[in-house]
Amino acid sequence: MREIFSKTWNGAKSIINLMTLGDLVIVGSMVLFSLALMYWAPHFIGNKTTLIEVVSRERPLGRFSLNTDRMLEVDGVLGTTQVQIKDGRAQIVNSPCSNKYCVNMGQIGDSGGVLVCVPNEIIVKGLSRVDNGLDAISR
Amino acid sequence: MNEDARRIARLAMMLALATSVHALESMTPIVLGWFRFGFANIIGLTTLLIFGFKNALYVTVGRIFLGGLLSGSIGSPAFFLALSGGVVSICFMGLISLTKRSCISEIGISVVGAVSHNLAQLVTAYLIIVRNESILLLAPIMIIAAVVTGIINGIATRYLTQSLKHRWDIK
Repeated sequence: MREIFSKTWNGAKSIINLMTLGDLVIVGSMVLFSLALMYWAPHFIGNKTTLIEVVSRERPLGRFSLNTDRMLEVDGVLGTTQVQIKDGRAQIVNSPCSNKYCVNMGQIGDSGGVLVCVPNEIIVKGLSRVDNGLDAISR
Repeated sequence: MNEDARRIARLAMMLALATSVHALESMTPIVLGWFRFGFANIIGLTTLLIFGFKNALYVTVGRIFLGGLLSGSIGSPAFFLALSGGVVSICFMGLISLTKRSCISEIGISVVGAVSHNLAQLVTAYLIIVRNESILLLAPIMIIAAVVTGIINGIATRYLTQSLKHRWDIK
């Protein structure tokens, strides 16, 4: 095992000996650049959640953008659930159910998510506009 | 006149060599998905270093067209991927090769060529095939792969250039 390591190390050293300072700068900057991209790229390129879909009693009622602030009144089995869209986030603020789990589920933000009120049979889903239906293979 | 004929014959040989390497490489089984070594770039870079930018562009574009004819992929998305990658990488390598060899050697030029080749292919794939920003997340992995293959190709280019210059009595 040690022999393999020392051989690999010697091979790497002999490759580095072949390179000039400029080469090392280029290789180093490329590696640093790719590491930086690895860290930052997912922040810029991600399928951000931009709209929500509201489903009541297994029937989709419609899609609403997260960009416009509004209050949605959704009728369910028990009564009316209030879904609030504010500052790009959606949240259930009031519900006729007894446990209020849905109110405590939190918000749908950039990273998506889903809010469910089981007793009232209401689902609020976060969706992104990007269509992932395409696929391709190239050689 | 004699010198001109010799130059054309040598360029034709480089083009033939590049085409056969390109065709042979497209026949090798793909082990790691899209990962390929791009050995044909050795010939393109050697041409760039011996005959200059214009001739290297001819050899690279000619190699891609002839390789497309051989593998029957001409006009397909894969052909346009290869074309964009080849042209962009030879342009970047031409720019970088304006520096002194003692400052940036064949290895550095080859790494720049490989990285620009991969990034150009990625952008082309985004524009004409996939149209989904998520594939740009592949960029860091492709840059790392390009650095590795670029170093290997650069070392090969150094030996090929030395031996050809010695054999052809240039400089």
